[in-house]
Amino acid sequence: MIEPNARVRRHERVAARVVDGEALLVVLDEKQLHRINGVGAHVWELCDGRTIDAIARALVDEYDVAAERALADVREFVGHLIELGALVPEDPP
Amino acid sequence: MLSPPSAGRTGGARRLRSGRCRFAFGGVVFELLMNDVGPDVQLDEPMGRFCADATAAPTVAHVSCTLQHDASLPPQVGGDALWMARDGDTLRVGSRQIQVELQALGAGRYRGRARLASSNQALEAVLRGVAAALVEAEGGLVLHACGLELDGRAVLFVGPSGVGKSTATCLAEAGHCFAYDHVAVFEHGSGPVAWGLPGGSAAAAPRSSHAHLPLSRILRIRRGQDQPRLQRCDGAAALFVIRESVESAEPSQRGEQARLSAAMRLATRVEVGELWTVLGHSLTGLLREAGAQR
Repeated sequence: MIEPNARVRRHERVAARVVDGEALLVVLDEKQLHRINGVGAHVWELCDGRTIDAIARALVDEYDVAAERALADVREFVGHLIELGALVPEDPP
Repeated sequence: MLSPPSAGRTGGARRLRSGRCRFAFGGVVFELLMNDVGPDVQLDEPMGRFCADATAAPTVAHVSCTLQHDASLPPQVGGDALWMARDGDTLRVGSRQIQVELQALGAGRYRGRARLASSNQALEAVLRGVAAALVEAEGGLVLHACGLELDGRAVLFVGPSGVGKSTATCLAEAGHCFAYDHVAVFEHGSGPVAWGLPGGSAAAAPRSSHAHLPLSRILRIRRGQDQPRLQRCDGAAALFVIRESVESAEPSQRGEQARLSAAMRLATRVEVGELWTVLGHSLTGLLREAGAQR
């Protein structure tokens, strides 16, 4: 599972659109199309190079969710998007 | 003043001889200079069914292209896949049988040269490849779809191979099929236009005499259980239906962003939905009823 201090960014070979709170991701090299709704689409938008921990804190600020639960869910969801080839972990500076 | 898109009748068999010829195909006006392609190369059935008179057809691009026969390219191949690439104002389309290079001149006009094998198959590949590339370059899309003409407008059935797109055209017995597997879609005048492209197996449904029609709906086919039903899609669901059916041989990230933008524009201009079909149950009433409610 990805570490809380790890940073993630969107893969350069992914095209995406967020429409009415849902995200459509096209993973070009896999020729795969993914639809993400609700909080998942928001997490996708937050994956701009910030840490997993920062993404989880942003969700806590916006949704009625405990910090521990938010962090666990973000780590699992981001890990899934990395497996799909939609996100890449950034090398630490 | 812009006029509404109209339906266009096909020209039937179209034989192209040496010299200059001009016609519309897939939303593009082609002006071909064919001085060196050999006497055997000609545009014939079934390609002629998808062509129309260039003066009256709704189009998004105009290309002047010199065709040159290249004996080093194989005249016949099985399943020749096209590729496309864009580099600034230069657009390249290729396959094992063709090599095309076009320059964008602005305002939807292109000029270029094509080297091709000496065969009908290679000439058809030039037309299909160039039409697909230019429609996409001008903000349109090529969809994997069956096209049905119903009451003078186009309904596109989309979905993965084997889902029942051709069957759906047969179940809409008041309609006529104008495309079996590929359709170019683009904005023209006051609304989107669907232009049938060759390919796919002929459906059992009667054939339409139109090459292009005003586009009214895009419906993702699903297999139902009891009665056919239709459910409208909005937002990301509509975008998914359209993008899922897009065909493109241009793999760049920039190209994909453009395709998503085109799909989003299209989703706001036509009705998008999911259609559950059931064998033995007509779709005509359902399609007309949904059309009347719009």
